[in-house]
Amino acid sequence: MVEMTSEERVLRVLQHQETDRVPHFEWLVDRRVREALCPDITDYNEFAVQMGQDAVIVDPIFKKERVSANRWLSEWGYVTQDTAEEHGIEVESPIKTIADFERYTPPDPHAPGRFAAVEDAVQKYAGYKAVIVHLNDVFSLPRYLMSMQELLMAIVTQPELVKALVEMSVTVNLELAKEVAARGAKIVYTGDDFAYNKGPLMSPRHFREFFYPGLCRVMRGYKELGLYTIKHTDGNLWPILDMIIDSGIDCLDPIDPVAGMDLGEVKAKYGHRIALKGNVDCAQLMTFGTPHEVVEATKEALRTGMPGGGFILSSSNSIHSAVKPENYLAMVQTVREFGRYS
Amino acid sequence: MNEKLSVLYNAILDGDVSGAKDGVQAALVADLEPGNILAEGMIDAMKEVGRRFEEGEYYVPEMLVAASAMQAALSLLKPCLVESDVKSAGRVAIGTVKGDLHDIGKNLVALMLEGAGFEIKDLGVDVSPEKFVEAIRGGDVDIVALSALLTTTMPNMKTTIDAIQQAGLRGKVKIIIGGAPVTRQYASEIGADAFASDASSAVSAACQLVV
Repeated sequence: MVEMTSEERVLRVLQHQETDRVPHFEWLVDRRVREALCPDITDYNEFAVQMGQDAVIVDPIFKKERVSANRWLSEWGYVTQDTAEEHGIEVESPIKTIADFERYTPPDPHAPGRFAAVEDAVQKYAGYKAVIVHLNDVFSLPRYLMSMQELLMAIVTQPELVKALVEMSVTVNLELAKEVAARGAKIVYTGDDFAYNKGPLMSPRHFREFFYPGLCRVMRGYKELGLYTIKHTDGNLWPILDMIIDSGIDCLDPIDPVAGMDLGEVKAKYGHRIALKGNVDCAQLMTFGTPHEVVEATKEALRTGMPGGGFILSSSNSIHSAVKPENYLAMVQTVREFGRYS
Repeated sequence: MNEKLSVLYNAILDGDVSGAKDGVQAALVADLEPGNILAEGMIDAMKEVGRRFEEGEYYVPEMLVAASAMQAALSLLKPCLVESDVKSAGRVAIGTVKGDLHDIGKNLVALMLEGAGFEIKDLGVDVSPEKFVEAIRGGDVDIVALSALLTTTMPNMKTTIDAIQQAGLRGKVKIIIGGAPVTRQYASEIGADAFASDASSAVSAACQLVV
């Protein structure tokens, strides 16, 4: 088969068509791994290109202002604290009650400059690399605005507040998506985590009542704008997986093996409906294992994921700071060598 | 079960904060022994919460609201427990290890341990090895419970255990660890006494450690 561009390759996977080889990309490669492998490259997307990733990932820009040495107030009104990783963690949230919610105004999705990074990426990479824009669906924003613990409790104690927050998340993200589509990006990914290692963060009954309707609306809305969707969520998803697939996503990521998600099983059950992205274990194997073990795990993921197409190879979450650079490299080289369709 | 205690028990299972407070008041007014109110009305209720969680009937939200009802009831009962000299099941210093700001797993474990009759000293998140050592030195600690959500912060569990060892305090406490990246094998490699994969199993492990 003729060599495809990265963009074609990723789009065809999302359309369930044949490709020349398995595409691969990561949501994040930590600065320390990047510096170890390409010390001269400072631009993140240039690193992705250098490593042969098939996509560049961009975010809408939301302002943040420093409130103390290591804390930042985001435009959304929550405060994050820096960690050793490249992303902070939310430590103060603005909404506790429905009265707080009624006083709350989310950032303007259409504010000037919001999509400067998207515009740059489309201009620089469209037609060459897949440009994927990071948005949200129904869980992360409510979680940031209330804190995880308060949000989970509110499912039981303040159901109307949770429903209102989900509704707001859907509305704001669809407005953001209009701007994304207007700028020529074709793919969005949402990174809202619904589960942890042992299972969903809430019962399937609560997921169906509180989050599933919004998930359907936001995924349908993305599709109506002509965008393809990759849904990322950590954890063991089995009890709610039918709902996630039924919401209309094009691709599921990352099928976390540590959380009991088996790529072959997900492929057998849903591979005819959606594409899959994953799932070389970055929690244990890429952190503590050897390059040889990573090569074997990557080959195994390719053997399982490749048949019939619809497969993107990646780590089981991200290349975080503790992943050994040589292990990331081993995965990349293996997909290049063994990820070709004959 | 005494009717008043069963009202308290059910209020906790339902996560009904005011019902649980009323339940404790009613039980005290009826002159029930504080130790019995704790054991049958509250600890048994939280055991049932743990069972339902393990069976997949309860998820994290139900567990959190039950635990908050239990806490509200316990705060009313505490003075009476002290007065009647009811002993706790053990004293636990708990925290998320240095570099890690995630708290929900640690909070759940603390709540469930409290619901099992343990006394909790919550050291918070991003807790340095020195702070754990200090807490043990301060006395009144039987168990140290370490939490980490990230693969990158998990090594600080070892650092913490090493610091406790170097301070000559290892023999004074039992150590239990848990969190998303933690495995039983890792727990044994770094010399922890027990591993818990979730809040409910942390309670069983802690109970065994203090036997």
